[in-house]
Amino acid sequence: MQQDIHKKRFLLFARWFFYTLLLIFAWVLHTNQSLCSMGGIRPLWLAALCLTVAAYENSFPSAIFGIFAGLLWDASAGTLSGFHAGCMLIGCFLISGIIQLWLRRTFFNAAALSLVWLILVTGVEFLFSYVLFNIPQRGVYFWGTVIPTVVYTVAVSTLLYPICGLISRLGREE
Amino acid sequence: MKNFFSSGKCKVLIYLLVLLAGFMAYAFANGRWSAAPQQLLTSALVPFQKLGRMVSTGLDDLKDRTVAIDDVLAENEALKQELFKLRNEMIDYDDMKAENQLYRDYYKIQETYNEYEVVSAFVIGRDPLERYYSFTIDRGQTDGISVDDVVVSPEGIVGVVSQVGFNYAEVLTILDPSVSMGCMISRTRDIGLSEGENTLCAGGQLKMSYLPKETLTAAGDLVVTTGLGGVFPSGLIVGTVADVLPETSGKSMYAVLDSAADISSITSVFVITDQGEAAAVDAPSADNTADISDSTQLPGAPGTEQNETQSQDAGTTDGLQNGETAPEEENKAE
Repeated sequence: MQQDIHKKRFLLFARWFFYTLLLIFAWVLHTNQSLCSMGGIRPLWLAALCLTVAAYENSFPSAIFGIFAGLLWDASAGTLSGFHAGCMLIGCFLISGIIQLWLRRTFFNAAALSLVWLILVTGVEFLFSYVLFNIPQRGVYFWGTVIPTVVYTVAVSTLLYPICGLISRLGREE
Repeated sequence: MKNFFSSGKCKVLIYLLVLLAGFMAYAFANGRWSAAPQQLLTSALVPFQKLGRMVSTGLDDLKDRTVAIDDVLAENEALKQELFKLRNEMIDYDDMKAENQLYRDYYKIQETYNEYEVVSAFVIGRDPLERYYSFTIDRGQTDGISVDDVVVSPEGIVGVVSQVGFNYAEVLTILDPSVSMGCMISRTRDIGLSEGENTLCAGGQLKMSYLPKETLTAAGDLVVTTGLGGVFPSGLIVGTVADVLPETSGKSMYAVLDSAADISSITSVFVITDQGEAAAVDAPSADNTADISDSTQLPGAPGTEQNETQSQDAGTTDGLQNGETAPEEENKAE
């Protein structure tokens, strides 16, 4: 019995260790300027990863994971420290809760929720950075850069979804 | 899930949310974007970013050797022809060099970067949504870099350091509207203010304002920094004029500049950590010496007695603007 508990804890630690390795990998891809670039548009790997993890894990650990991903995102974007961390905390918590309570755990549901949340977050950032200051040609930037980035981000989660699925099964199979 | 909101974990999440709001308020109140915990986290991950840069460089090289080989061969051929043309132009180089040396002595122009202490750095990160191409480099406080250090490339000025960590630094590029520089048209000596513009940044261009209405600036003119303001040293190449247009008020003109450095895809830069005695001098130093020899505003031929008198006052003349010569110095010498 005690052996089972130790084994479960070890597998739980292993699961989150692999998630952390994925997070570091995603951080490198997120900030690298030439990898995965299509016409100057690059995906938000950190957001894609933490929102995909939220689809598989419980709300509390997903939210904590989202905080770390958000802090790294703040560091790369040069935005106010804590903004993306707070957004990812709330986003991961909500996505995890919605999938646990109402929706089935499928890639389509996870991608749809991620898309909605990312549009919300980037929209708020766009509102406070461009609309309020009446920056010219902000529409071109929003439709030409922000939306394609969000769509590309959801697209790369097709790679992350099965990987996170494999990791999430650690410690859950009898 | 329904019991979650009454559990301790929910309170922990709320506390964390409040803490993050506190980070934001603290950073904002201190006039910075990042807080210490974030800087520590970023510093710890810089080695992984360097590894990522090495991987992407290797992949780019592989791509050049395989997929883009035809483009590379064509570029090689074009470069060979350009090299042949440049070798022919070298015949006139010695004469121009001697003349240039005389003009340099006259204006007391220093060679670019001779008195500067520079640190080389690689670009290791850019955010996908960054509009003005700001980036992160792999040097920080431990390498002597501090906020407001100027960042340059062999082609020209790139930007200025905005944040520094232990082993990394954030760089704001000259395409950012918050970065402004005192600049000068090398040929006409018109002085203006260059800064980023939201409508131009996507094309690697910036705007130079406050040019006089009767300016003779034309497309192709070289633009250099004046050193006024105390941040950017004088004589750094900003770019070339792409177009000259009237301001909406009609009282002055502005120029659209093509930045000399390819800011959107630059991979290695130099950071000027010590400007030495050349910090923010008023008399501009131009790198393009041909522009000096082509200038029509020189008060006289170098080496004459008249010129020796004027050279003593060159530091106080504050440059020659808008085609004006220095008649008072000429009269004094006579």
